[in-house]
Amino acid sequence: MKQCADLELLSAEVDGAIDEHQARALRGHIESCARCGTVRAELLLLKTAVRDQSAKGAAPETLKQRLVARMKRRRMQTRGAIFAAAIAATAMVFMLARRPRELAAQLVGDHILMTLDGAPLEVRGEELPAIERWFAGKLDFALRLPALPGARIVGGRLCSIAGRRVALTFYEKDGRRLSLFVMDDAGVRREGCEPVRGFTVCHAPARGVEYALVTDLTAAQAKLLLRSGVEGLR
Amino acid sequence: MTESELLNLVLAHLDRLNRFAQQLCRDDDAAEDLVQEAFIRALAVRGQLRDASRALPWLLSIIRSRHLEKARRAQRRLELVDEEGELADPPVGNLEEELLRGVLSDEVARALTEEQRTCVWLCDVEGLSYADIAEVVGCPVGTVRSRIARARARLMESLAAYAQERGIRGGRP
Repeated sequence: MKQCADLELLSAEVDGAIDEHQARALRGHIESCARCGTVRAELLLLKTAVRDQSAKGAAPETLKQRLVARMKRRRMQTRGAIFAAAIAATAMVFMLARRPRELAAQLVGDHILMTLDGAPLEVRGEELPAIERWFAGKLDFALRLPALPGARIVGGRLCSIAGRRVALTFYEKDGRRLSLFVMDDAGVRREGCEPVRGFTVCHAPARGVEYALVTDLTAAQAKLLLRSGVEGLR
Repeated sequence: MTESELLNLVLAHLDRLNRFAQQLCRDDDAAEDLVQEAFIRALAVRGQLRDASRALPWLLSIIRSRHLEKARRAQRRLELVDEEGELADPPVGNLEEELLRGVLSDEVARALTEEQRTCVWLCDVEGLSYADIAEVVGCPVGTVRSRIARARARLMESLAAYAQERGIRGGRP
């Protein structure tokens, strides 16, 4: 090999992804070419750095247990109608256990998207009654918005979560944007706060409606804020 | 392949599958969910896997495609309904790219495309061959080779700039 190798060939060589003939020619060239030798050394260093700086943790034991449990449930499902009721009950328990976390992840995803991408509001205003009137007739429940202490409402829009129409309203507090989702609770009562992807998601029920606040406030701050607001509605 | 055989294969590769999911999701809980969903999908289509020695790239490809599906669904979920119930314009921005920004999480790696990050991760961290990576990402081996080379060129440029900013001298002749 007389000419210098291109980066793609050198890169493939450090991965052992070229044939022996090419590799022999390349090695011969590198012995007499300091530039190619340096680039190859840099590629090797880079490959090692990427490998060494990446976490190599083991999968959690809980994940193994979940997979085994899933498999067992699947087997049960194939054993006939006699077990149908038991399977349904098991699945329901499993779904209920998972559902809050899935919902919270969805809410945080929507909060990030709406906040970072600056999606337009469908209604703007600083008066809660005016915002409530805008939602009238657009939801399957009567919307009552809480006054969150120290925060002001700035607007809202409709969105759809799991096939349900949800009121997504935005408040501002100390320069922070807070997302308050208001939805029919579908018979599931959720209460409390949880951290999701660096945000806090707090749930509070009131009269068959679920309020879910997504914010970067601490759990204690968010819980107090939401509880104060929802208690004012009761 | 029986369901039990597939479960054993998944458990044998579980550390790597979970790491890959973590890189895609950047969230441990979401990664576990993704692995479980991929496992359910794998059970349903296990007839596709004829050679157990090919299980790892096959499972990784299911994780990746499942992750892409979820990202697209999350974007659709945000389609907003207007007053008449018609779909309004979708929000601007690329949620998928946002979600996929997990592979190689440091700032330098953010300069890479999702495909480049995935290829470099699978090659350097998981030690997959180019042929296996091609199977995971669904493209020809030559494309994998060029993606990895372009990614490394980009990383070297970024690292050189980083070093220059901090007064670190390089040694290339």
